[in-house]
This record gives sequence, structure tokens and C-alpha cells, in this order.
Amino acid sequence: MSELLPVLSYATFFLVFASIFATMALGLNLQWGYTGLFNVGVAGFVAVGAYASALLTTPPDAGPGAVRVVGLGLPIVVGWIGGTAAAGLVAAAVGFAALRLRHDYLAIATFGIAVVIQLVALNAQKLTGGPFGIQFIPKPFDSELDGSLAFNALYLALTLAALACVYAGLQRLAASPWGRVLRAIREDETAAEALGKRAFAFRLQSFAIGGAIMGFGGALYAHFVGYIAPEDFLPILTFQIWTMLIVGGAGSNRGAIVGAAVVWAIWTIAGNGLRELIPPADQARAASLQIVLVGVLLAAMLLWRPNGLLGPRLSRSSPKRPPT
Amino acid sequence: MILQIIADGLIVGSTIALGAIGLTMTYSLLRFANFAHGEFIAWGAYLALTFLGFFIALGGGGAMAPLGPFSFGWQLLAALVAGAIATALLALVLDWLLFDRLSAQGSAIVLTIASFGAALALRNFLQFVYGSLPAYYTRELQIAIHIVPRDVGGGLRATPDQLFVLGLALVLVVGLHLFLQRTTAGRAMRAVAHNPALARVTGIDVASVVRWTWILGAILAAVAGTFAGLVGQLRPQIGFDLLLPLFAAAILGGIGSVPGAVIGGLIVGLAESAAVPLIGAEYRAAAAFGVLIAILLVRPQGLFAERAK
Amino acid sequence: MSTALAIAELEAGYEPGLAIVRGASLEIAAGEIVALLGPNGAGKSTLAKAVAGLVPIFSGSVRLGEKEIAGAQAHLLARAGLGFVPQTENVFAPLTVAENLELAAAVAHVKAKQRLPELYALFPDLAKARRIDAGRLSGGQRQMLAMARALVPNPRVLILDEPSAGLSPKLVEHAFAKLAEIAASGVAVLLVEQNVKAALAIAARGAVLVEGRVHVDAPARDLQVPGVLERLFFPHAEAAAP
Repeated sequence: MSELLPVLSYATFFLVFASIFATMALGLNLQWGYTGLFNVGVAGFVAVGAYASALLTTPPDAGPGAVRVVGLGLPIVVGWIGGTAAAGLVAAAVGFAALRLRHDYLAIATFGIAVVIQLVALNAQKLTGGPFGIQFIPKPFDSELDGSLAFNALYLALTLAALACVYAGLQRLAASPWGRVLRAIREDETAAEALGKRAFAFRLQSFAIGGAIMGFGGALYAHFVGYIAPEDFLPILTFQIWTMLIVGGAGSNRGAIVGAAVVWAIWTIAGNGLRELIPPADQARAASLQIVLVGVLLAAMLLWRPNGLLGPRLSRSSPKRPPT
Repeated sequence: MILQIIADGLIVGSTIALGAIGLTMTYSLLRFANFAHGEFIAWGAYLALTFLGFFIALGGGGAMAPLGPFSFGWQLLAALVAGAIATALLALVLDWLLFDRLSAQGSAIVLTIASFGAALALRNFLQFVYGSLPAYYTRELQIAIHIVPRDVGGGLRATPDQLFVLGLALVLVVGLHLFLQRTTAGRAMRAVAHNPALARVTGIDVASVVRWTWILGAILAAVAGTFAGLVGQLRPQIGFDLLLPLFAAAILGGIGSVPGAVIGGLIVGLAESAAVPLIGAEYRAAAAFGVLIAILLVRPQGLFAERAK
Repeated sequence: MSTALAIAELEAGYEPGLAIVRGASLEIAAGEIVALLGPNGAGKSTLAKAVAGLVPIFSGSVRLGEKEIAGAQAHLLARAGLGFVPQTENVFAPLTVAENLELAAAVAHVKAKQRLPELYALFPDLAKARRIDAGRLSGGQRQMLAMARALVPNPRVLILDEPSAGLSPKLVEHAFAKLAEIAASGVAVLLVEQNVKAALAIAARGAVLVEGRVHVDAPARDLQVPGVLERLFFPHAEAAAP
């Protein structure tokens, strides 16, 4: 039994992360899979959710030399709701500026907002703690459980429940008239043009809800780890979520979840394997190689299996020009 | 003060402009936003560093004897050329491996995703090869020259290296403009950017034009990277940090317009340099984002879009 | 009269398995104008584009003179003497009139200094507008430039996709008179047209394409008889009638 404990502890830890990533991938699937909106700033929206939730729930730094002077100490639930809402609002603002334009302008604008959010996290020390980030973010359940298997297991139940709620909600949305309009806009440019301003409204709603879900994922992350810093929200996170969605199959909510688990497993195994293979002095370099490997995985999926493991089969031939 | 801000902005802006030219050309020809373009800048800068070591060793090792007032010798100029050629090869390989195959089967947005993945892989591979510590082409100290005395507009100082960067950037931009306007190859590039199908029935080999566009874009990117390393330092993130300014400059100038990319680059450079006294050096990078959002809201087609239809 | 272009049993389309041109056959002699007619969606434009190398060919043969060209790349066809004028966006708008023509000459290794004056003689309007950006030309001038551009490498065959679309009747008359002049110089012309009347007025023959096949290939005057074309365009409608 005592030998099994570390394994179980690690397994729950792994699954908590997998389900948090799956939540974020679901948000991206709403934006990209259902609506065709290309978001290169996933990490930025996750960061907004994580920081907002942390600031709502964590009291300011105490004592002399305190860096961070903002913080409310509210209940965790308030933090989750606030983090979700904040990320949704930022997404709505970016979408408002870029969604009327060519689709790749949205990509560039979201890339930009993620860079700016990173800058704020790094430099607005009084608010975000700067490079030191926010520590002692409250965790749910009894504080004595912290770090134990029991805590991991309870938190896993929580994230799985959250994931299930988001999944069920998105499935219902996708099946609703609203979801059917989204698909029509995505698949058929003329339908989108016929809808005109309303197409813009539909896209904006989808983008904001997707952003909010990513923010929710960020909040779940913050209260599990208890500590966030700017380096948790680098572009590599965006890239991971994208790879998860592409591997699982864009357009399928189940695919997003499966992709999250698969890619997170590959990521973890590749990281451990490289750490074994590469001498300790070069560990920092091993981390770079890990990213290169996943980059190659993404490119290979796009080339040889563009619909992913579980993606719908229809999207590949759709953007062809009709014969005239 | 104000003159100095303008001068600094122009020096940064000339680097951004060189990068933005390549970005806007591939954007208008291949019709996708290439997030890997920043990595051509980084790889160009680091490949030049490797060639520099090679050329210095070739000359018998030791220190590089500076040319005139500059901090560098002929070896850096040779390394600049060699690095640019190697970067062009890198771009061709990436096109052959990834973009060419994907453009045959999918939409522009898939290419954009792929370029995002390629960018991360290239950047991290660079970090793997060269490590993450800053590097320099030369340790030679440069003394800034007073170009305008202090009592006129706050004065203006610049190092010879900075003036070299500005001058060579100007030469490249004028040369490229003449190339695109006057030569058959340049006109063929503009023709393909405007209408690939018409270009084909006119007898233009589009695949070859695309290859030449990659080569030109990568060469300019490598030069921009080497310039950035020369007036600053080399870091693996050098390309990533320039990406947002590049996009802002390309969109500001109007996608496909080379003069637009140059003016866009200079404006973004000036905005960054003006942002330092206004919002602090740490938020300098946000200036490019401000320019980007402003242009998207006010004039998304850019200032100098090539006339459509 | 030698055969300049011979299309036999051609199948072509945008997506594999979805042929739009389904076994079309047609021959055009040097100096002859053939009008390709047919109802909307019959595949006229697709046939023209497939011959020009812009749409994938699945099977069948296309001969330019003696040479088999089915499946060749569009830019090589253009250089080999097959001129194609697309229906819309058929000039390089950011380039001037002269630059449009010079570019076509340079890629086909034709001496612009000799060839351009000949074309300016054929299209005097273009000579006057040579320094103007093509994007600023009028509709009629633009059509002239598109034709001139395709003629730069002295093609044996000229294919035009609905050149009359968007032009006033007077301009159509002018453009078609030019086409007759071009054909008279020995060029084989394939004219894809909706404007049946104007096309048959200058064509030697008319070919009617229905559902991707050439159903009828007849002298133009036989097709000008009232009512004939309607019956040919909609064979099923006639069969259903009492």
C-alpha cells in the first residue's frame, strides 16, 4: 500500500492537470472548432482568469517589503466567477477590435494581447507581484490536506465535475439553434455575409464565451497549485492547448478532452525521458527540446491527420471556391 | 531629448522595417500570417554569430580588427552575408517540409497554425543549440558621436554602428523598391501577389516566384536580426520580441506594400521609442500593440495597400 | 486548315470524383473561331480553365498542334502558345498597361521592343493608356488589355472566358471585331460565351455543351435559326413536352 501511494498521488496530480487543460481546450474548441476563430493568445486569457481569481481571493502581501498591495480575500467561488468573467470581458474587447476583419488579423491581435498581458503580469508589481507572482493563493478544502493524496483526489473530483459541466454546457450550446448558426457561419461564407452584423455578434459571443472558459481553466489552475507567476502563461501554453485540440480533433468536444489527455501524457513522458537522457548540466536545454518535439508533433498531425483523432470529417474540403 | 527619441526610434524602426518587408511579402504572396518569420530573424542573427567565429578563426583568430570608426571588422560583414544565405536555405527547407505541403491541402488558417508551431520549435531549437545567455558580436566599446549639439532640440548622439545600420537599411530598402518596380522578377512577384491564377496563365512560374519570395524575406530577416544584435545583444527571444512590432508595421503599411512596411516599421519604431518616457521602458513592447489596435479600429486596410482590382 | 487545338474525351473538375466536364470533345482549326455555348452550369468555364491548365484534368486528351498538353502546368502552356483570357480580374491592376505587357513578354522570352508596338497597333486605345495603372482602365480598355496580354507570346490558340460579360453592346461589337481580326491572322479562337447572338455572328462553328459534354457541333448559321438553341440547351425539357 505504501508503495502505491506515490503512484496514486502522481496519477491524481497528472489527471488534475489533464482535466484543467481539457477545460481550456474546450474553450478553444468553441472558438476554433465551432466558429473558426483563430486565437493565438490562449495563454493570455488563461492568465487573466488565474490572476483575477487569485486577486479576488488572496489577501495582499503582509509585512515589511511587501510587493503586492492589492487583494481581497473573498471566497474561492467568487474568485472563480470573477476570473471567468474577467477573461470573457478581455476576449470580448479584443474580439470587438478584430473580429470584423480578416480572420488572420484576429490571430495577430490575440497574439498581441497575450504579449501585453504578459508585460502587465511581469511589471505591474503592486497588482501582480511582478516576476515573483502571487503566492499563498487559498485552496479549497481543509488546509491540513494540502499537498496530500487526499487533496489531489478531492481537487480531481472538483475539476472533473467542472469539466463535465463545461462539456455538457457546450454540447447543449452546439446542438441549440445558436450552435447551428455558428457552424453555418464557419462552413459557409455566403451564409455569414447574409447574416452581416448578426454574424459579427455570433462570432463575438462565441469568442467571449470561449475566452471565459479559458479563464475558468486558469482559475482552476491557480487554486490547485496555490502559486502563479508570469512564466506560467508563456506562449508555450497556447501552443500546448492548440496541439491538444488539433491532436484530439477540432470541432469535437470529446476530441478536445481526449487530445488534452494524450498530449499532456506525451508532454510529461517526453519531459521525463529527456531529463533521464540529458546530463543535469543541460537540463534547461532539455526543456527546449521537449517543446521542439511537441512542435513537430503538431506539424505532423496537420500534415498527415488534419482532422485529429476524433474530429469530424467534413471541414477539410469546405473552404474551396465554387466553380464559376 | 525629442531629437534623440526620434533618432532612437528610426534606428529601431529600420530593423522592424526590414523584418516587416519580408513578412508583408510572404503574407501577400502566400496569403497567410507567418508567425515563424520572427524566427528567421533570430536564426539569421545567430547563424551570423557562428559564421563570425568561423571567419575570425580563418583570419588567424584573436580579436577582430575594427573597420574605421565601427566596432566590427570585415568578418562581420562576411558573416552577415553568409548568415543571410543560410537563413534563406532554412526558409526554403521549412517551405518544402511544411508550408508547401499544407498549402496544397488546406486553408490559410491551417498554415498560420503550422507557422505558430514551427516558430516555437525553431525558437526552442535555437535555444537548445546556442543556450539562453545573451551573446555579442563584438565587445568593442563604441563612443557615441554628437551629431546635433545639446542646445538644439536636446541634442542628438549616435554610435557609428547605429549610423551604419540606418544607412545599410536605407540602401536595402531603395534597392528592393527598384527591384520590385523595374525588374521582371520583381514585377512577377507583384503579379503573383495580386492574382496567382492570372500570373500562371501569363506564363509566370508561381512556384519559383514563391521560392524567391521566401529567399528575399529570409535574407532581409537575417539582416534585421544581425542589426538588432549589433546595436543591442543576441538573445534567443530576439525574433519573438520583434514579431508583434513586425505585424503592426506590416498591417499599418498595408499588407503587400513594401513602402508601407518601411513607413509602418519606422512609425512603430518611433512609437516604441516615444513610449519609453511616457509609460516606461518596461512597457515599450505594448506600444506596438497600441499601434496595431488603433490601425485595426481606424483603417484596417492599412495606409498604403496596393490598389485592389 | 490544320487543327490547332484538339480536345478528346476530356474529363475535368475541381475535386477528384466530381467531374464537371464529362467526356467533352472539340476541334478548332487555325484561323477559326468556335463559340462554346451552353446553359449555366454546363461546365463551359471549367472546360476552358482545364485546357488552360487551371483546373485538374482526370482523363482524356488535349493537343496543341501535335503536342499532347493535358495536365501540363499553366505557365508552361502559356509559354507554349496557348493564350487564356479569364472572365474577371484578367489584368494586373497594380501594374501599368505597359508593365502588364512587358511582364508577359519577358516570361515568354519575347522581345517587348518588337511585340508591343504590334499590339499597340492592333489596340490603339492601349497605346494611349500605356503609362496608366491597369486598375484604372475602363471596362472596355481592360478587356482589350487582357486580350493583348494573352496575345503577347504569339499564341496559336486563344481561349476567352465570356469576354462580353459586363460590356455594353457597342463595346462587345468592338471587342468581337478585334477577335475576328485576330483569328484572320491565323490564331484559333475558342470563345466561351453566354451572349449567343454576338458570338455566333463572328464564329464559324458553335459547340453546345450540356452537362459536361459537347452535344452538338454545327456551323454557326445552323444554330442561328430561332428556337434551335433553346431546344439544344434544354434537351430534357423538350423530351417532356408533348
